[in-house]
Amino acid sequence: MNQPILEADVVIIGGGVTGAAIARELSRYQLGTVLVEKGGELCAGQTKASLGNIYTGLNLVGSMILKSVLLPPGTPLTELYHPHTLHTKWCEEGFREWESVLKELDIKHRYVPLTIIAKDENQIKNLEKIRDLGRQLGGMYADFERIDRKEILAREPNVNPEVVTALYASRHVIDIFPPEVAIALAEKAVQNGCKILLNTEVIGILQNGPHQIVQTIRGPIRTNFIVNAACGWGDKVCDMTGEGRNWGLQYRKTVMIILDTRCKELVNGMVRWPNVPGRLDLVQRREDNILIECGTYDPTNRPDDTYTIREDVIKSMEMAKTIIPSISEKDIINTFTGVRVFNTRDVEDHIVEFHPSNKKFLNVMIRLPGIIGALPMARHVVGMIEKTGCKLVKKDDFHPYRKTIPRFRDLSDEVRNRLIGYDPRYGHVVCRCETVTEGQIVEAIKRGASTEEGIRMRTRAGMGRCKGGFCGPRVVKILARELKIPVTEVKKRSLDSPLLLCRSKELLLRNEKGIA
Amino acid sequence: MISDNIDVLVIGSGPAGMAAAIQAKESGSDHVFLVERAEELGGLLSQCIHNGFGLIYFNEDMTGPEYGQRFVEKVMDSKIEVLLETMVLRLTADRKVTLCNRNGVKTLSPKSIVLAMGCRERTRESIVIPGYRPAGIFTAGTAQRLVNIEGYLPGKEIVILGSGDVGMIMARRLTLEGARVKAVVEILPYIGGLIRNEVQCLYDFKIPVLLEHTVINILGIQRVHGVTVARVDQNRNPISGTEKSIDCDTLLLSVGLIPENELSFMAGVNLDPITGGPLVNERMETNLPGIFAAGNCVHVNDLVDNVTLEGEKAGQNAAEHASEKAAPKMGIKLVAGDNVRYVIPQMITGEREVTIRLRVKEPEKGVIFKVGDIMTKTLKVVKPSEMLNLILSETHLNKMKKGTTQLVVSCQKKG
Amino acid sequence: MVKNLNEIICIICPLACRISVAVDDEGRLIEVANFQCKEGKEYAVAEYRSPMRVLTTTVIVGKSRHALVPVRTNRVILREKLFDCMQHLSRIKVEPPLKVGDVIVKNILNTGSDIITTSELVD
Repeated sequence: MNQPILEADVVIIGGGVTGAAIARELSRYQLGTVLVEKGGELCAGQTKASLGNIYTGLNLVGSMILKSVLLPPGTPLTELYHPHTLHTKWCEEGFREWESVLKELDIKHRYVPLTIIAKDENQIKNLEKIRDLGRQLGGMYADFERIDRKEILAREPNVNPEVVTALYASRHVIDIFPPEVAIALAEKAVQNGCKILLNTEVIGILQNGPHQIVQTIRGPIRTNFIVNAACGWGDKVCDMTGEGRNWGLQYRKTVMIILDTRCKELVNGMVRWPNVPGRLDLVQRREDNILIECGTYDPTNRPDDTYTIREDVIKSMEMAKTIIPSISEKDIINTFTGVRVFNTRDVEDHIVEFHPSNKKFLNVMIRLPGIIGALPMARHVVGMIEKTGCKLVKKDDFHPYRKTIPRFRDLSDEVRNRLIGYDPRYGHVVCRCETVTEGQIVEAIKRGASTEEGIRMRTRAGMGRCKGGFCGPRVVKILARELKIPVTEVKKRSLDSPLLLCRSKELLLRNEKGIA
Repeated sequence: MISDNIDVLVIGSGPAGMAAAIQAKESGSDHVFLVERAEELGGLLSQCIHNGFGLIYFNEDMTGPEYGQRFVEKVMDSKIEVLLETMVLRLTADRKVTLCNRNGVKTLSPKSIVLAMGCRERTRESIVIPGYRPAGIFTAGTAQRLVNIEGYLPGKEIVILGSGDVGMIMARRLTLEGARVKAVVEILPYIGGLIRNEVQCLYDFKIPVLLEHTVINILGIQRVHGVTVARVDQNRNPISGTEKSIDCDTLLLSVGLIPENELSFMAGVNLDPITGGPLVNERMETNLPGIFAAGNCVHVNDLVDNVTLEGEKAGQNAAEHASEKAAPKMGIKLVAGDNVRYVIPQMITGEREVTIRLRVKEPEKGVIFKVGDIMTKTLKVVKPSEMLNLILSETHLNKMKKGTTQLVVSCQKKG
Repeated sequence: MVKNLNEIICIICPLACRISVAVDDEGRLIEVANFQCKEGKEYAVAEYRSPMRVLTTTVIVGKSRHALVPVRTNRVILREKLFDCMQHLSRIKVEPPLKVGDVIVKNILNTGSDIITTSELVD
């Protein structure tokens, strides 16, 4: 066996929000933690394209009610509430905790009002079921109002005028940008000693005496514990131990649409039809854009099937217009497809368990929603590691606070000037659509971004309406300069996604005879 | 030095902006500022290294950089205050302009402003081409910058969607640089740009042209490795059974230019929903007093010479506004009629000679243009891709009936 | 006498006449048809006999903050020579300062045309 490239106490496989949360939690302890991610940037899988809101209360009740069709008649609705599942426990705990941790990690977030609307009999029936269950559960779950048409239009003036009634909760949904959450958690982990290796796909897992070897494409890592947080690829990673598990993973894809910031006033928060099994219909304000997720969860056989189907986009827009009639295709600036991973073994819950024949290989298979419960989940994982006899000694120099890369766009002119005085590169605006400066891009690279997508996720450069038309070439040059690599080596995301294939004149010099 | 006594501030130093700034100076403004977000003056001219510029304005066949250089020299000679790598962050209705560069953020209050931000390109995302999101998809203009200024080729085997001039120019450029352009795909039954480019960019190099086709799929997860094209019917919908794949590592998009008006929108400038640019009167003034506009941010032009003339008009009027010269009343609205997609300007005084610029909706042969009942003009052929000028002289205008408040500009088939 | 028909698309005006140029086996002009103006006819014949083009491209710049300088032929050259000129120019490197119109290559590949810069490069 080759010399290990690294020695670790814990290797976390997977750099989405799950792996990042676990890494941050582990970094509180005197342990050598390494996170390996096969993509060229964190959040390469499910986290990147997830809806990602942090929510509680009314929104949770809405999703509980989906199973009501399976309830035998006469069964009380409260049977739909499963307080002992990890999923429910972590959602309840998680929401409260995020309210302070989001500030601690300086993650941009905004409470958006949730309005579940109804215009016909069927929808009103569903709405009333949600209302009834919420009231019966009490607490946060009952913290909503029923409002009539006049009130609905006062709060969401552009909603379908045919709506009759709605349930409304003003502080049950926190709008965030999912990659920002995962990256903030990861930055915290790195700041506290965790190592993160990108472009490091795991290709095998071996036993080596009291240790384990995580074989990667960059070499072997010797470790004590392994945490499998590879979500969509979790099955495949677990199989590498030689004995697969039968979780019956299912993948379902759904398309999401982003509208130009110019029409952001069309919706103030999240507006949705009452949940119906197998589909989600909502239009929400996602920071300064509008995000639409209206569609069915279509089965697919791959966790990376992010192929966007045009008809799905068309159908999604049609449905979105039933919620907010004045939105238009001409305002579409982005469409993408997210894959949601479900397990059919414990349908209601996450699977967090040791491998039956390897008490140092912990599978953390999270079902959606993954962000809300990420913090209690990470503590639970650490608790499980501790129970195996691993000594966990807390560091006394753990830094909990994180400062985000300055969001130039959101700063006052006064603060901007201070920033520019400190580093003039913050005065060089590179991305016009999102007002992103060279200073931010350089800082993102310092914090680990090495690809176009990394810059985009960490600074928003390239996310605006021109999609990198102006800033693209400049971002590539800055990446090449800061990373000290040729421009032709700069990637979009993974190692096999080069952006610019050759230099000027290269093809002519190669081909003496010219083009055939 | 940044001063607070600015007569005219021009946003954008492409051909429209440079012309406006130079003309403002020549019309008597003392302090003229020219603000540019890129590293050099000239806007897109620096990357348009092909010829065909200046045939009208200079009576010479020049390349973009040569055309631009004439104006850059004049700008430098005219004591215009030039700010490069400077972004305008905010614009208000009362003409407060917030600039940002390495020296800091500062808000200025010029007496007049000329908006000359040009246009941006329509993207893959907004036209929803199915597929993954691989590397290797570029808009033609961005590719042009990469090839002609930065020194990199986007790829080696290219398919181009859209047969507008930018797409055709890039087809030739990439072929000359040694890449292979496998096809130019056009959804309409005719080429979108000039005949000259059709011949000298496509036929010269035997580049296959697929009319009435579109790209229905992009192949490749991390990097493009092909596209699927299909024929379309008269409703521009793909016809099942006509699909065929073309191997390539790059897809270039030349699917439309959109006037860039984020600042105009921010300030409350009224925009024309058809052009995407500000509604302007014959002085190139928007609905906000003292805010003028010219060039591709008003409407996408074909000939840079026209852009220069428009810029000059805006610059002159901006200077007059700054010197508090009285502005004439705009009494007449110009409305686009049959087969006319839009007209610029949309408001005129009706008292002075004015050049109307317009585009038709559909190509047609043997047409007659009518402006109300005061002017007609016949043309042998008209195409949406070629902008047209109609000159309304004072003689024409004198024919207007008293009390006329609007003139319809229409294009009908003769006979 | 065999007629060889060649179609030339005229680029002089938007009508874009498809002008037919017929020649015999020895290449002698027999007939020009389907044109609407004298300029079109002249263009078609010249274009058929000997298509000429302006070449515009870039040349690599060294010792500069710019990567490339745009250049052109100052006369039209034979269309067949376009690629050979591109090959030739791909091996050339220039340095600033450069003014518009500086001659980089005199009479490139005997075409009778120089290669001149079209942009000013100070540094």
